[in-house]
Order: sequence, then C-alpha cells, then structure tokens
Amino acid sequence: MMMTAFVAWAYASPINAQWNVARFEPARDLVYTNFGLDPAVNSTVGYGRAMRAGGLLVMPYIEASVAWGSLDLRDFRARAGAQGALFRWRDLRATANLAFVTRGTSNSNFNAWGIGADAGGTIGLYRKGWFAGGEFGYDKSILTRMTHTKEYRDHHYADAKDGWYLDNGAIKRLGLVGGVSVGRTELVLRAGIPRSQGGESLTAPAYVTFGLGIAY
Amino acid sequence: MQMRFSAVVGLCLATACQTVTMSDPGNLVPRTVTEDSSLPAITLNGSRFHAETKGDLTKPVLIFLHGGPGGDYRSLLKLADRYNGYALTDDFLLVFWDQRGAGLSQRHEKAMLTLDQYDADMLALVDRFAPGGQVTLIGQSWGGMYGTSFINRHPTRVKQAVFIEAGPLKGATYERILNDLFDINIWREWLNDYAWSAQFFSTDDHIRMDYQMAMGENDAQPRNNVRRGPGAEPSWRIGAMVNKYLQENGQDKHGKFNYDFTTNLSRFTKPVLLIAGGRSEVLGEPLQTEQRSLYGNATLKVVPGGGHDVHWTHSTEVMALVQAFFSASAAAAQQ
Repeated sequence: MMMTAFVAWAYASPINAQWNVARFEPARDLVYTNFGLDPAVNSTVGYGRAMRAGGLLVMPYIEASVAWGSLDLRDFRARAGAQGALFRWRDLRATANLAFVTRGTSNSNFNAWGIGADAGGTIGLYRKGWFAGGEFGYDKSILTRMTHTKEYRDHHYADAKDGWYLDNGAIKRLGLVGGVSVGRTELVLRAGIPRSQGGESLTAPAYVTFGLGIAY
Repeated sequence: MQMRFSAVVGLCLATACQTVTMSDPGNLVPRTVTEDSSLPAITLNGSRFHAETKGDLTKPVLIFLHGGPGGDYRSLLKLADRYNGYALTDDFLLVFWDQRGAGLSQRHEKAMLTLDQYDADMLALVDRFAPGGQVTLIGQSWGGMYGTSFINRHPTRVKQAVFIEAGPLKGATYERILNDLFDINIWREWLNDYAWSAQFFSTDDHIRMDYQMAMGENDAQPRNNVRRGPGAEPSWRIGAMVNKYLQENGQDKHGKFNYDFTTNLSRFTKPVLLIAGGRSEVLGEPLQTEQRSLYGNATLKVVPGGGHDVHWTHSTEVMALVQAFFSASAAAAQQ
C-alpha cells in the first residue's frame, strides 16, 4: 500500500526530476540511490538540494556507500560535496563536482580509514526527459590510517608499519553518463573506465552504476 | 614551565601527524635483496636473487622451487628440518632461492619476466652449483611446473625430481580447470575487499602491487583447501608483476593459455615422484593422476588430509615419502 502510494507520488508531478544539477532549478531537493561496481560492488544513498549561490546554480549533497560482498559495513565510503553548473549553450551543458571523501575498509590483511577529495565534471546534451554526456573524475586518497592484522603479521610481515600513510594514490575515471526522467523520478546509468594514479587497470576493469533519484 | 608544555605539545603533534609513504621499502612488505644487503643473495644473469644453501657443499645438489609464480621459499624451509631421524642435508646440499621477480629477489619489469628468462636463470643456477652435472629438484605447485619445464628443455641436467601438487603442465589443461580452480565471483567478500582497496592505494609500483596481491592469496582458490588462520603456510612477499607477466607469457594473443611443458618430457626416464594432497580438490589427485603419464617414469603418492599446502601441513608424511623415494632411486641406480 505504501509502495503504491510512493510510486503514484513519484510519477504524479509534471516537473522533471533531474539528477544532474545542469537540469535542476533552485530550491529542489533530491534523494537518490545507486547500485553498481565502483570500484567494488556497492550501494549508495544520498541527498542533495539545488540552490543559487553567487549567481551559480549549485547542489550541495551528501551520500554514503557500503560495499557488498558480505555487506561488510566496515567497507564504506561517504562523500560531502557540491555540484555546480558551469555553462549552458543551447542544449549543451557542463557541470563540475568537488567532494570531500572519507572511506574505510577491513580485510584479512589490514584495516584502513582515510580522507580524500574527488573532483570531476560532465559535459553533455540535455533534452526534455533525457540527457547523455561524458564524465571524468579524479578521486585522490590524501591521508590514510592503516593498521595491519595479526594474520598479516603472522603469515607475511611481522614488521609491517601501522600509521598515517600520505598520498597513496588515486582513481581516474573517464566514462559516459545518461539518464531519463519521468515525473519526479530519474534513472541514471554511468559506465566507464577507471585507472590508477599511474594509469594501471584496476581489479574491476570498468565501473558501472545504476541510479534512481526522486526530486521533490 | 610554559616552554616545556609547548615542547611536549609540539612533540605530541609531530608524533601524531608523522606520516609514512607506501613506496618506502620496509613499510608494507619486506625489503628485497636490492634494498637489504643483509639478506643472503646471489647474482645470476645480471639479477640479484634471494638465496641460501644448507648442508655440505661437496654433496649432490638439491634445488627447491617455490610456488607462484611470484612466491617464495619460506614455507619450503620446513622441508630442511629433520624428520624421524632423516634430514635432506644428510644426502644433499640444499639450495633455496626466490625466483626472478619473486619473494625477496630483485624486481624487474615485464620484458625480463618471461619463461625463456626463467629457463636461463635456472640453467645458470644449476651451472653455478653443479657445473656440467645433474641436480635433484623438489618443486611445489608452480615450482613443479617450472621444474618440469626445465626437465623438458634440459633432460640431461636433472637426476630425479619430486613435484608436490604441481600445477597444469599444459595450457590446455589449465584452461579446462580454470573455472574449477578459481572462485572469481564479485559477490565474494575477498574479491570485493580486493577491488575496494583500489580507493586506498594505487598499485603503481612493485611494493603496492605485492602488498595488494597478498590479500587474495588463499581466497581465490578455495578448493585447494589450504590451512587458514593460525598455522597457515607463511610467505614473505609475493611478486605480483612476475605472477602477472609470466602467466601472460604462457598465453596466446587472445589470453588463452597455450604453453606446453611436456613436448620432450617422455624422453626423460629418470624417476619422478608426484605428491598430492588428499583434500586438494582440483590440483590434487585428479590432476596428478592425469599428469603422471606425461613423465617417462613417475609415481604418485597421495597424503590423506593434506590440501595444496600439504608440504607445510603434513611435512612429516611428505618427508617420509621423499626419503623412501630417494632411497629407492639410489638403490635402483646402484643396480
């Protein structure tokens, strides 16, 4: 019953729900969820609100992700950032994104918690009801606290150093992004190629995420 | 008083904020022989190898070949111990070494990590310790494949061999068992952890690559049924780059394994002992039974309860088989 009501509400509005700030109007809220491979299987929930700041349309947002596998909550990522519309020319629009990132992981060899920054942008064609474009990004790991497990010390390296590790690397992204909107709801697909800071392929050679956003 | 307080606070801040970098040798993985001159090492073909000998230099030479590619000889050292009154050093000079780009040996880039280079390294090692003569081999997993490849190319340089849980000797066999051997499922915790780690460090140098590779060491092949947790087989450091590129060197342009270490193997009629772990589901008895016929004169023994790490978990049983095999070989040679 509640789900039926939710779906009816989501599709009732004549306004377009838009994930990308380039299609947003000020004073619009967005809740969204993602699921996909980036750089491991994970799911994300987030909230953003579009507003005007100094004549620029921006959308501050927060989001939290957790990796799957065994749905280990210690493998998490959280972002707090802002997306801004840079320019618009006819149906062509460009956005930029900058976020503070914190993330953690726990595995058989080490536990880590770190902070970083994710910068990127999109450029694409925006039409009523859909958009498609390209995206790029650079997710930098700035400072990471690492502690090694007893298992790692016992079986590999007893003298592994725990501590704050600086400038561990980054993930570069280049890909495509597109979406369709119906009423308040928007579906977004992102896919592309990630590379390490030095240009090496990652364990997951591609990233693919599906997203669902509701504007209100 | 105020100065002392400031000094203490400053020291605490400096300590708290002290950072290290992943690429500094010794932080995440042990140093290699090029980074730590105190490690025992030899030079072969222009490269530094982590290596040591045990026993009498005048005795026949027995060379150990570790697994991987990329592993090290740490767990094989257990086979140098004395079991039921017998130690291999009673009869042999034991040579332990980490192969090119593996363990604590010098790291190299792709061009130097080929099967031909590996063959040249082993030939140089044999010539160094047994110039013009023959050696005995004990190889585990990849070490069994490597040893077989060497026999295939240089059948006159090997007197006898023991291969424990040797991997597939033909690329076609490897292709056939790949899906049985590896558990590559993106929903698995270990693989997701492995992939998730990309956010914490980039695998852009040997240290980082080796460090990451240690994460999936045993989880990727669950049907090997190796011991986990306390008492598990130890290793110093895995050479991730040699693991990757040596395997690529055994593949065709489509990424299919096409190597064949058996083209000349039937001409080798010296005794070979194959040992399988009874609980090793893929690389154990099923594969060793199949591969036994590829050698001219091989016998197979199965150690009940052992996994792919049978040499580590069941050293006493393995050494009893090895001792009996060497005794029988010596007796046959005298007849």
